[in-house]
Amino acid sequence: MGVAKTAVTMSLFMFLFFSIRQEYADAKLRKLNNFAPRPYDYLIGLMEGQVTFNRARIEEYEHYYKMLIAYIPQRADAYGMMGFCAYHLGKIQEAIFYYQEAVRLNPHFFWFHYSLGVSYFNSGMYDKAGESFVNARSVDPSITYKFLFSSKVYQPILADLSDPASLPVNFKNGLKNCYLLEAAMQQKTKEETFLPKDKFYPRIF
Amino acid sequence: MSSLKIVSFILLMVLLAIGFNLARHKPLWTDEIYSQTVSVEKFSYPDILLGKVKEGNTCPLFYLIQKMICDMTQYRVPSTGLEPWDQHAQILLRVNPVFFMSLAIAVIFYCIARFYSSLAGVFASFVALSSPMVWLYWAESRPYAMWVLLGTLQLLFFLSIIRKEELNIRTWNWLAVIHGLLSLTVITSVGQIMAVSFLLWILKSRDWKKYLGLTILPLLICFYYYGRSSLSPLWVPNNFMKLIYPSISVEQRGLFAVYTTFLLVQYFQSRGNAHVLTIGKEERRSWALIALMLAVAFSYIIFYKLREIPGHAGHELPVRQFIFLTPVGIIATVLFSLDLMRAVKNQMWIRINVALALGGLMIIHFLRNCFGIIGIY
Repeated sequence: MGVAKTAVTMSLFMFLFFSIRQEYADAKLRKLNNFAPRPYDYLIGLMEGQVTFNRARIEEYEHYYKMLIAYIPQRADAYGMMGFCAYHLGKIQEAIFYYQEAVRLNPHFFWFHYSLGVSYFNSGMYDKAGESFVNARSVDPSITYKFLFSSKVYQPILADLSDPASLPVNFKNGLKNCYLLEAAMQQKTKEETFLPKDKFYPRIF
Repeated sequence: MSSLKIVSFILLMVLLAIGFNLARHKPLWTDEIYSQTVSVEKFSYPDILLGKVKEGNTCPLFYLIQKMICDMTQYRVPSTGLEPWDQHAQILLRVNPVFFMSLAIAVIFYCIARFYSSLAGVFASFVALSSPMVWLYWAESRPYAMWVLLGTLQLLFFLSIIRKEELNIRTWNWLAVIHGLLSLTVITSVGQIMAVSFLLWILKSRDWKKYLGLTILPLLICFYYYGRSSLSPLWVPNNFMKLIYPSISVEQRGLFAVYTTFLLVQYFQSRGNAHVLTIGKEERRSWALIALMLAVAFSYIIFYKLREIPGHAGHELPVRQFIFLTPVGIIATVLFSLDLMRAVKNQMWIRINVALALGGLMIIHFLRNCFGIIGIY
């Protein structure tokens, strides 16, 4: 093959290579949109303790957030959602890992610290739980809200929320729980009375 | 058993596993629940056979198979109704579509590998798995998977008949059986049956007796069930091409355009007696069949447009009514690609470029049409 012919073939190759790369990037976004496990009513019901356990449904959500992490690994909200799903599927150690990652990527979101703390607490790691609750309390609420409303992961879930006015109430309850659990953990060093483990669960928001 | 049959069997097993995994993660939707609750459970075998089910498509084969599966496994819809997330029903009710769609892909692999080469077979399976319609209807307990399988077999038997100079009666009879099954599966298979029969009349045999089983009987069956169907009013969307695009993507249409250009070039060359490009005879005939199938699709659109009630009454004409174009698109893509490669086999540089372009086009085709929906459920 002459130089000219090689150049033509190489040009074709390069053209296809860049086209395929661009198509792959677009296809990933399309896939994420297609996979969005709408509606989110079950997820919200799960958070509020209003629905019965359905493994298949939770696995659908888990599947989506796992894919989201695979494609966009720097999203703290996706790790947070994975933590939430893993916890409800009974994989608490996995949930702790995902919440740790979420906190690492965004240490200014209250619910990551809170959920990590609750996960530690429910698995008996009280010292670490205490640290997480202290971190949660130190977070600026306005930054939490800003992140919540700007997140493309949370926006569709918020849209399915029947009562958006419950958000500040949830936040206050979350803060209250932090104090309550911290106090309970301090008590534990003195006596064996303790709060029931299954009363507190990780939350999305 | 030959190694090709073993590989095809393994492929079928893998495809079945993928299909059942899809079924497990995909909730049942309204049409599936309706078909099972009403058409399958509430009607007896003779009633189904007589087309008494209250469906747009009253052809009995799908409902009979579903009823048999349910009777054999003693499955009944729960008294509280069928829920979309019913794991047992999600799997059991989709045994039929999962098996038939998987079989369709395995058959495409087997036949193309047998007719051409193993590499061509792999390419054909990749093209089949790049079709969004395959993924969307792989696990849906409606007759679409059967329609895809029978459409695939129809095209492959047609190819087999036109490949040989002499008429093989056995293959002809098999095609008649396929036409019979098609007519018992969907009433709109009438166009496919007529298109293939017309081409065979032109190309192979004008003995009308041969068409009694191949064409006349299937058409009579179709018309019988058409008369019994309760077709709800449908309206054609303004952008009616979107009914065809999911079955034949823009990349496939691009390939068909290139191939058609090649055919024209060959035609003009042959007039000057200078044969640089050689397009195979059977591929030319396949091209005619594909053009006819597209004409059938457009005829349906015109038919529905004429029946349309002003004011968009009823439902929009669904894309799935055109799923018969999916095997047409797959097989045409494979045949035309192989023929383009063969046409330039003596010109190494062009051959490399054609292979590059075809490979790239198929990867783009997969990314655009399938990557976004694989594993969606």
